Amino acid sequence: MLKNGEIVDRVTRSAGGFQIVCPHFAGLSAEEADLVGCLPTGDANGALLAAAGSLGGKDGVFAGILAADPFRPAPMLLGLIKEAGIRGVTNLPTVAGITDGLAEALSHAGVDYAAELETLAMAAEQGLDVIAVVRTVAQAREATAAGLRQLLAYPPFAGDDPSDRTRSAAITLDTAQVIRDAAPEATILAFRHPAYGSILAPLIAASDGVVDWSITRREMRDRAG
Amino acid sequence: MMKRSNDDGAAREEATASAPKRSAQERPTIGAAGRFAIGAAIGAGLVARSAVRGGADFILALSAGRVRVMGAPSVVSMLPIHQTNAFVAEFARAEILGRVDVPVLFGASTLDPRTDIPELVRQIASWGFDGVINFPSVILLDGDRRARMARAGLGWQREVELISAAKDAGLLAAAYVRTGQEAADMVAAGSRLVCVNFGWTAGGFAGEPATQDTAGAAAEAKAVFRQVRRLNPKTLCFVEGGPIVTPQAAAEVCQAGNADGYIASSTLDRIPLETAVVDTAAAFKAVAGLTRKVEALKTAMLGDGRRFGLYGRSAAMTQLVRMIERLADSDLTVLIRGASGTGKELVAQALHRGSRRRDCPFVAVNCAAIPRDLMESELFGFERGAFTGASRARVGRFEEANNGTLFLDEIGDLDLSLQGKLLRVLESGVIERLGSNQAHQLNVRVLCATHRDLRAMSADGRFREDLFFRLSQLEIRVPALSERIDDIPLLAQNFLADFATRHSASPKVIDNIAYQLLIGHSWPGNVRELRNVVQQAAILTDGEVIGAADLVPLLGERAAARDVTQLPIRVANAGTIADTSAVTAETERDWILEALRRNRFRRGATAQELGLSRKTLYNKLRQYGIE
Repeated sequence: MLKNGEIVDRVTRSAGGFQIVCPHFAGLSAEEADLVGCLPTGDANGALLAAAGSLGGKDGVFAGILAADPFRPAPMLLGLIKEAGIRGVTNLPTVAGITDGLAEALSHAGVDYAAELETLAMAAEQGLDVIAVVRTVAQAREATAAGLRQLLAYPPFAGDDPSDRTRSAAITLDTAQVIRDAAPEATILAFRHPAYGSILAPLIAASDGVVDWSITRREMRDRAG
Repeated sequence: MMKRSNDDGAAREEATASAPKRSAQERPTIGAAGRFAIGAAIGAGLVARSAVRGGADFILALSAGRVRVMGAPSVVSMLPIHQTNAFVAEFARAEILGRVDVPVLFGASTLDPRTDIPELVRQIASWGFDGVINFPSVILLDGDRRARMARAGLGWQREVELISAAKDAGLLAAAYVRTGQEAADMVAAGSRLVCVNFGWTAGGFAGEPATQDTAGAAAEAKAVFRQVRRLNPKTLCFVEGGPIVTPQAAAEVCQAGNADGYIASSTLDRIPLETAVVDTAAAFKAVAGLTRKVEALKTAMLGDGRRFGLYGRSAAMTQLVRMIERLADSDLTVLIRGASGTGKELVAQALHRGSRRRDCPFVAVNCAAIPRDLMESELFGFERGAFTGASRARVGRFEEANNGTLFLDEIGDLDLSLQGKLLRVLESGVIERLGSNQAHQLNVRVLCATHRDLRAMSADGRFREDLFFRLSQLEIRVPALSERIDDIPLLAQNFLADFATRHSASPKVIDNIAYQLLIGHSWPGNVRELRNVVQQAAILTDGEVIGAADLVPLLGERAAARDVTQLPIRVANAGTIADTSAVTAETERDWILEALRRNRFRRGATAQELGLSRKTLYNKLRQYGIE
């Protein structure tokens, strides 16, 4: 069972745990990734595939993919991933956080959370290890119904207002509970969003493992460099 | 073309872009005073050039346009599927810049916080673009996300910064906005063109469902434009997207808002393209269906052999075509027998075209036309120096026909000395060029034809018996024209039509009495003779109708002596026989007897061939005492 992991922009040799590798997020903070990670800020799958060689042949390494890429259909994308020897995938960046008008327009174009789940289910069928990101109760139900059993509860966008964050944390806790009820055998992972602090403690307590953000924001890295 | 009224009292001067790579004289302009302008937001060189030919005043190179070209709706340009600015630069620099004579604006994205805006603008200017517009823009996102992005220093502020930097760089700064406040921000940043974008264009197969009507869009545009013009009357005001899917809708929104122009995106490429492709595909399909029907009709009219150039629906011709179809795919040698002019070579070609070898050579050799001394080298080829005058090697007809078909016409005229060599080649499939000991293994199907009686010739020792048996593994007899007189009208019409096509004229027609003459002629020269007669008649006849008088000189003395009223009348098109008082009993008796013989005295087939009912045929048989 997965326990502790981290979201990284490249494979590192950190001790223990698993890694979700998302080169597309390089230089972004967790909040920036929330806000613009699934907007036109780069070629997420292109970056991943370019780095695929460094992800191949390693257990506990999950490739972060845009699982509803309109120009890289699932069979093609998963084929390339398997060809590189990658053993696990996660839907990051994800359209799960896109809501309202844009979500509707994208869904009309066949790009939505359901499409991501189809890709993940196909990946699981092909023997890849899969972690599904879920951000709402509805998505938790869809993901478990799709047969996915490793789920990362990812807090939805939260404003600066502490009450917003408290509400978002509560939604994520509900999401974890729905997973537990729907699939008691499922592994629930909690994303320890750095902007939330201790508000996420109940979620973490209800989960089987924790995932941290381990990508260095560009200014800090620049300064460090 | 819509005209913008000047009720705001300010004559807007032209917005002038000053791309560094252009001279002052070359500087492009948008929106000459009072003139309604059209922008084309596209993603491919072909669309850009077509739009300009259609009158577009400027081009916006956008990632959304490119994804439409790739077959997806514009909205997917909001996903992390490409490095937007590099993506736009790649196609616009390769396909648009320098290829259109109107300003080209670069759709630049600042959504990525890692993008260095001043550096981006510097690059855009250095590439030679005339201007910049903020796309993809946060105005296409929901308010909640936009607010969060704004608080994080992402989003709208960066787009304003982009437009300001573009203006400072001397580029034509254009801005997509949705609200009055956004328009005000962009006017303040120096945008010379503000376009109210109503969101993803509705309509088409992959388009968005409409969420706003044109009246609502018109009201929204009017309010924004009022605010813009209050701030800077020289700013050009445009509209785009949402419910504007037709020129009429554009006119409605633009007139209500007193817009300076309209930017066309999906309405320019995707929606018309989808419609055009659907219509065109349907048209092609309809044409294909129609072609099939026409082909079927032609076959019904001209007979199954039409595809081989063998016209006719007579029993003899139908039987010949069936035989060709059965033998075509075999590799065995076929002997084609028939009188001169019956079309033996056509039959050979039909056997070739119906076989697996159809894409390989068909080589015909007339054994009667080549001098005996040259025949060996003609068939088998020779090496340089093989004989006096052989200054270079030459491939023989057998080698030319390798993998295909060799047709030896008039095989009965082949010299006895060569018959043995031909037999060896047929048996072994190997040839040796003259003057060479090198064997060439070939894969050639051999077809032969003759008008002679090879069996009799071999009995007389003029043709090798073993070769005769080898050649006549399969045999096809081509009927003489006198055996298929039913086909004469059809053949005559076809020759006339061919002749007319070759001479770019309308085909002449043959009257019924003339047809009777043709049918009554013995045709010793067979189809070849018929073709000559018909074509000569077409040349010699002044009018459009070929009559009996036009044919008599061509058919010779027998025809001149013939009383056409004593011929059975055959209605040319229907091919039926009708009794007339002029038909003598003797003529009709002979006619029926001939048909019976051709049909091996099968009365049903005979009646069918003659176009009579069985009952009529039986009556006539009784009448003429035929048992």
